[in-house]
Amino acid sequence: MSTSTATPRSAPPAPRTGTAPRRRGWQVSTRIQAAVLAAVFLIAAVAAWQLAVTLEVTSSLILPAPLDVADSLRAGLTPGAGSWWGDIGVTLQTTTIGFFIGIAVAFVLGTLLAYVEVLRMAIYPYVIFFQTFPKVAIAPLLVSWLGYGLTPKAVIGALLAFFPMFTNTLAGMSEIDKDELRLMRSLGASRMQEMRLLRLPNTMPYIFAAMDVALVMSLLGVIVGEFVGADAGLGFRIQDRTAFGDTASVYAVLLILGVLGTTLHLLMVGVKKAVLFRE
Amino acid sequence: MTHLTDVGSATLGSVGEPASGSDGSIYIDQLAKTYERPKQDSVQALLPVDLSITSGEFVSLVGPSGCGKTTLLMMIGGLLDATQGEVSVAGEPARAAHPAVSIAFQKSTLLRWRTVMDNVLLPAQIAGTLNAQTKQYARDLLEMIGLSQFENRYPHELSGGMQQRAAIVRSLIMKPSVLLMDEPFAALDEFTREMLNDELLRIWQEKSTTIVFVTHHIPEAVYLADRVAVMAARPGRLLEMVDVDLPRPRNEDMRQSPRFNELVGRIRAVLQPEVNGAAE
Repeated sequence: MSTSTATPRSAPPAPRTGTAPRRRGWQVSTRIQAAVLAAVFLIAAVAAWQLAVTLEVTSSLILPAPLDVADSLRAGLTPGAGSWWGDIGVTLQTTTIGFFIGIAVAFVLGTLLAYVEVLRMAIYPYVIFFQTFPKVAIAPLLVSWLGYGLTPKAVIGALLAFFPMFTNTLAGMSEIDKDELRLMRSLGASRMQEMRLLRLPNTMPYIFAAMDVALVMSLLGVIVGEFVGADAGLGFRIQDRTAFGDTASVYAVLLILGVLGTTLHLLMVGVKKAVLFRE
Repeated sequence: MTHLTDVGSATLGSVGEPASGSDGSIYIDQLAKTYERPKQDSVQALLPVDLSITSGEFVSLVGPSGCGKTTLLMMIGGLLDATQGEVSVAGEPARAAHPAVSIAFQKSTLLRWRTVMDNVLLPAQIAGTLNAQTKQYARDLLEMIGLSQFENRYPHELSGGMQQRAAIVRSLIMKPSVLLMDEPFAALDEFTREMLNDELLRIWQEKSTTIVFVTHHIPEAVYLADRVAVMAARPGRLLEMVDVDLPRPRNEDMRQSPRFNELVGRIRAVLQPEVNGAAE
């Protein structure tokens, strides 16, 4: 399969054997140490940042003070006129639409191609071409076709979400253990039963690995789309604030984007845990 | 399922009558398999074989890799088409999903997202015959093979031997009159293998199922079978049928008996020139 195939955890981990108490204690203290260290990194980074601003290493247009960023963030998140909640809503909505359209089309097409070999051989060269193609490059074209609304952004988001899902669906549906297929045949399973009882569950780990990537890709696509031409959304807000020289707000929006991406990822992990069988 | 009369009773032996009129006979007539290769000589996976197996018989197919033993088994199971000849099972031409036939593969092929119980019930689910009686029968079988405690576990939580046990239970759930086994214990250590040999014999005696058992392990073939089909490679063919006249039920002590060793030695002697010849 292609290089961008997100690999699921294929082999189930070996059954846990009794861990020695000493080693267990060591693990716990390692986690605490790591948490402390992570906090130290954060504090050090912010401190260095503040120091750089205080020493006026660069202009505040390039590096605003942490407190200014915090102020901008507070202002942006305070409900009322000029708040960013509308932008967050637009970006989230567009990302979600793009994500679901992208993975739905990818799932159907991936399944179809897994079943129909001749179609797979015919279409695969194009898939490779479009997969390696820098898809965000067509964002301006899409905006000029589809206007300034939500549609072109959702389309870019869908396009970016499509490929990880497509390659992984194809992999999961076609990379089936030969003996498991023979077992289904020997039991007289119909094509639908084979799909429902073997191929689909076999594909689930691939699908979840892909969805995790697809969600972040969709967000990326939407932001780029909003850069090109929009009147709302976090991508638009970044452009808008940059034009005004309001660097502190740009930093604040970036922070929001970071939190958004992490939240979406954690959401995906949660769904995966709830749906997938215990490993 | 109509033969399920006294589920839940303690006497398991009476539960497991084969469903399909208990005819487990197999007739193999000039059955052969050739693979055509473009621009090369065709590969003779199996030269014509004649073999009759009576209902309830235990036959081992033994031989080195490439002797066509798995090919023969898969043709009996209807998972592979023959190039020539015929094979019938329980009086009907062999085909995939023959109701009288069940196949156990070398890998346990337990579906890793299903619990042991759900794996065991898979054949019934596919056949659309899953009901309370089947579940009870599954529980009885798991009990018999010592897996009761594990019915809600997932395959990866089980040892290799336990996985094969679960696979055997799955292959029994439809009450087959013919059980085809393709090196089911090959991946197990020697101790587990011998233990499962005894368990398989116990099940076979209770269920009076015909078993065709593929292995490359000569002592295992002899210990289990009424007759051993000795097969050779390049081209794959049946060399000789060896009758195993050891008394039943078999037990561990017989593995040391002179007769057992004599039979093992004889089969080894039949195969030796073949193996040496192939190595040249």
